[in-house]
Amino acid sequence: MAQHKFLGLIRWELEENLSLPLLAFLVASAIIATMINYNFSSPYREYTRLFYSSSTVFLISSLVTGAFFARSYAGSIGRGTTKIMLSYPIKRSQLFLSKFIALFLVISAIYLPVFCVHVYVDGLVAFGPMIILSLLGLFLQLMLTCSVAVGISMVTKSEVVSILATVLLLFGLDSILGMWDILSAQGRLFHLFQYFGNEFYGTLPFLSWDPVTANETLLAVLAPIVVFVVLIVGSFVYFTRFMEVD
Amino acid sequence: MKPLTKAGIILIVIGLSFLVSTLYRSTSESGNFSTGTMMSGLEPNAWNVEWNASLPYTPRFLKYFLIPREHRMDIQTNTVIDVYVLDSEGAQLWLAEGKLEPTFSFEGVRQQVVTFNIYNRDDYSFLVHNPSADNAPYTLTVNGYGIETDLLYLSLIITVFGAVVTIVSFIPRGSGRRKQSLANKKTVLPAAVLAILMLSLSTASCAAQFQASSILAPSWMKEGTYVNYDFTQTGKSYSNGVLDTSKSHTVYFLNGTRIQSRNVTSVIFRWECTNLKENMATLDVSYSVTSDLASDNFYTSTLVDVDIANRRVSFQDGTLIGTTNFWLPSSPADGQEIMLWDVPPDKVTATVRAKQPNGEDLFTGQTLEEPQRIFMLQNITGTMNGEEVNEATFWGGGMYEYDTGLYVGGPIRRDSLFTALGIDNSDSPNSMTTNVEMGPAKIVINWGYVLGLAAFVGSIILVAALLLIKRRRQRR
Repeated sequence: MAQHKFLGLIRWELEENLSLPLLAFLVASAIIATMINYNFSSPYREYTRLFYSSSTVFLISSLVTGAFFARSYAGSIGRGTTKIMLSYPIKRSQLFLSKFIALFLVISAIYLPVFCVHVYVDGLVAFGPMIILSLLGLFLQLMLTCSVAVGISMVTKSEVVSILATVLLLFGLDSILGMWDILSAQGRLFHLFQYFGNEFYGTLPFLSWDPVTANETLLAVLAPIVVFVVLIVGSFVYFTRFMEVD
Repeated sequence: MKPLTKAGIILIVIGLSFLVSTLYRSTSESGNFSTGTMMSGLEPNAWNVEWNASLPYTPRFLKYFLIPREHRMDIQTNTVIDVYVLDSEGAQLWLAEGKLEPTFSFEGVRQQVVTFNIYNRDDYSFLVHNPSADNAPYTLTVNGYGIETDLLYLSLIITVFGAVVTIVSFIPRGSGRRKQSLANKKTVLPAAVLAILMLSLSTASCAAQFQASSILAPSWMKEGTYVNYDFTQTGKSYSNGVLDTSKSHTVYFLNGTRIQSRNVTSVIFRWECTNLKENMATLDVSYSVTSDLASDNFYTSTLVDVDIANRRVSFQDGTLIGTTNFWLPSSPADGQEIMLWDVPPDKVTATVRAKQPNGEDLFTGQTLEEPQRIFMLQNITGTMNGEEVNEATFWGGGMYEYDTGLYVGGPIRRDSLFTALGIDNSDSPNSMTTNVEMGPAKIVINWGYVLGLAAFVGSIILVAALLLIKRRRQRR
């Protein structure tokens, strides 16, 4: 019965987020983010194009993901939807998780396949290691963004402030750290490319930069995962145990 | 809303998004590469293929990834050559069987800009043939412009298909009871697409524009003035993650010989003014290659006299060598004609390009610590030692600091100071050091960092302010 309710909640969230014009907005943002920033400077068929093209995808996906999660969590609290939902025999944990799963599924299912347009546009091999690494980089960024958005939504309970704070925080951090830093979105991808590029092909993708170690690459991958786990678990505990829904 | 209508609208949005992206992408040039043999030239009746073995993840030979759009190829040569554009199949056919089946061919060209339309995203190769009896130094510069046709067609097909699906979804089906009036249907506009368009806004920066009169003799030339140009390879090379230190450097001499140094640590060309009387300067010119291997070190130097007003260089015994272009008149006007070689009866002239096509000043930070305003040369024409020269063979691509006229980057081609040393290199320096005081550097503000910091601080303030307001309300 509980499982049935949970699945019903997920279906309800999916219908909510797959409705027009939200779906149209998501699809348009994913296509434009993927296509608009293109590395025209190199005349060669090379995987580093993925790296240089990814900055806009990271920026716009963070913006969109932050907005959608903040709208769903903080927005529903602000509009009173959460209160109404909780007046039914629904557990708080089910509500929290159903929102998260539905939104994350929708955004990932749109952004990750659209990013694969690069296979055609850049003339790359489908399912090549660098494509998969790029998708991993994008997936990690989506995880980081949604956890930050959920965390801020829990604190502020204000839709507008949550969207603004999430976007500004992530954009600000990435800009301050720079595109090569281990903790920035592009820096993470750089470490993945530099390490695995050398491992797979025996040559560094970015010749003018030093090789990176396995530990640095692991740190680049683990950092967003740790932030994600801490923020999501913290938000979950806060939402299910402490938060007053008024 | 019917699922079919929804699907149609989503298809329209996908098509329009691709269309918007394609239009945006059409504003950028692609390709931007040059290929050719400037120094030795292509031998008579010889063919040339470009071997690209230096980049990772790129097939090892003959391949430039071109996208479906219009391409312009600037062909520069002294003599007549044939240029063929081969697709990957054509390249394979030529290499394996010697069969020439070009996608595009341009035969008997000399100095010409040709255009061709690529229809498939693929690797292309540029095959050059020299049918003449002379050596043919040449450069091919290729740029892609305009809309990528495959993406345009794809976006239009998806949009039209989406429109058809949407219209079909409105056609009433079934019995009269189930028929629905078109007028009662709500149409949902994909307004989100328009909102996303706002993201494509870009910013532009402004720079002060002024022109000053040209000064022929450089006021900065004094005893002790020097410039070092560093030609040392800067790109790090790794093999399986291990730094490859075995860099080599070849010095070509005017008499046709050359020497190659291994494990090179530095390659420096230096000139220093050791004496200056009125307009006559004595320059100590040297070229040194330093290697980890003592046997591979190379050093040569000589003293030359230079009339700094007309830049004529001669040996100390009075033998005229030619005109140096390591500096040019300072602060020239855009389009001004400048003499590059003046050894009667030969003359080579060029016009100054001090502005970008959009009217903004040119800047470079390529060899300098800070970006400086520069000017470049174009329309290089004339004869040198009885031989016609152009941008491909004489000083094309050279960059000069605007306020001093000092050469700061780009390939050095057949300069008299090199001739004085008997050297025939045409490398581009990676960096330079000098005691010449250049004009004011362009102030570069890292707006990304400033905005990022503001955003980061702003987000914290925003959350803090909201929490503070909420707490106050609760107290009341």
